[in-house]
Amino acid sequence: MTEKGKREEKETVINFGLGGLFKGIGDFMDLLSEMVEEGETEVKRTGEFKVKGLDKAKGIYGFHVRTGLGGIPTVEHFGNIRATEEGPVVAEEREPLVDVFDEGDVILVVTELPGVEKDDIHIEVKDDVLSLSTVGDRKYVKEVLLPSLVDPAMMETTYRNGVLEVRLGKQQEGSS
Amino acid sequence: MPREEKRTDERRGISIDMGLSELFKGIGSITELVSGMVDLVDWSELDEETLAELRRTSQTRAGARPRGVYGVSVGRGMGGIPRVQPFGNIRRTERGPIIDEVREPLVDVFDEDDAVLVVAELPGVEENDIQIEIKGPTLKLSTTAKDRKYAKEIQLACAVDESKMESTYKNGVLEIKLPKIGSE
Repeated sequence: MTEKGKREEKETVINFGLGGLFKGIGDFMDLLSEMVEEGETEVKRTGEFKVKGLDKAKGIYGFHVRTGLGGIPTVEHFGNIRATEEGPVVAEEREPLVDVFDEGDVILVVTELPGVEKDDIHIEVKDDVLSLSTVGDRKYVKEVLLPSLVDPAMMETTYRNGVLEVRLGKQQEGSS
Repeated sequence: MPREEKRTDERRGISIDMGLSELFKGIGSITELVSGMVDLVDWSELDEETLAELRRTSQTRAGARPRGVYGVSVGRGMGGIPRVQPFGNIRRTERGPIIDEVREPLVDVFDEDDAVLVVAELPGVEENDIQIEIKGPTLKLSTTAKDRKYAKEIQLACAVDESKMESTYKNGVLEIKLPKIGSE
């Protein structure tokens, strides 16, 4: 119990009101950890496992959740496993983890692009959409919908330790 | 609540025997579930003031609440056998899932005949903030930066020579090369 109490300081208990969402995530995690544990000893059973593209690359699927006021979560997916009609496919391009912040006059987009060189990052902004892609060994691609119209001329970017930060000035008039 | 029932059924229907393809079905259903839950929120019921506050508190970086990240990587392990590894900072507890301050990074371990290569994605930390500790067949990785904390314990498949460890950190990716003991 004391250990639990200690841990509590560092943790944020998820209480979304939408308990079902996290119950679902919890169930999913239970399942996953079972599979991970079983996988160590029962690997042979996975013979039927066929995912297109997996022989070439690693498959990644993830989501991130941010709590808002009133218990409203926003959920974003990332990774390179895509659902298609033929089943899941591991794509060459990976969708990165992206955070969008509204800082008043500017929109701040923070993207995790580990393993790429700064020169390999391409950013294009049109209206309220930021398109991001990288070339090289690790390919990332993402279209980010911004919370308001921005002025592409007012863009500042920094890339450090695998994290890209893009600051975009909001369009002054008519940005409803 | 039909959604609840559906999920229970799905959960019951998934078993280890069915293999990893079920995992992908699981991923599919959690994707739908998550999207569905967000769609269920009736935004029109919220008054302007609440919405404005919601924007403010959740969307500036300084005011942002902790973010939960959870994911799995599926790769080919030793002998071409698929290997599933979770990462992120959402943890299961008896009280339900919680968002931890410390995030488990995405890690790959490669067996390179005479050495073990560990590749970890640690975006956003400085090289000086990375701590690597080896105890027997376990590699402990952690970072001490204030805003981005990562921690991971990695089981190495064999004994390694810690004194000959080489590590590089570049663009958010840490690579550790550990020569195997007795492979001169």
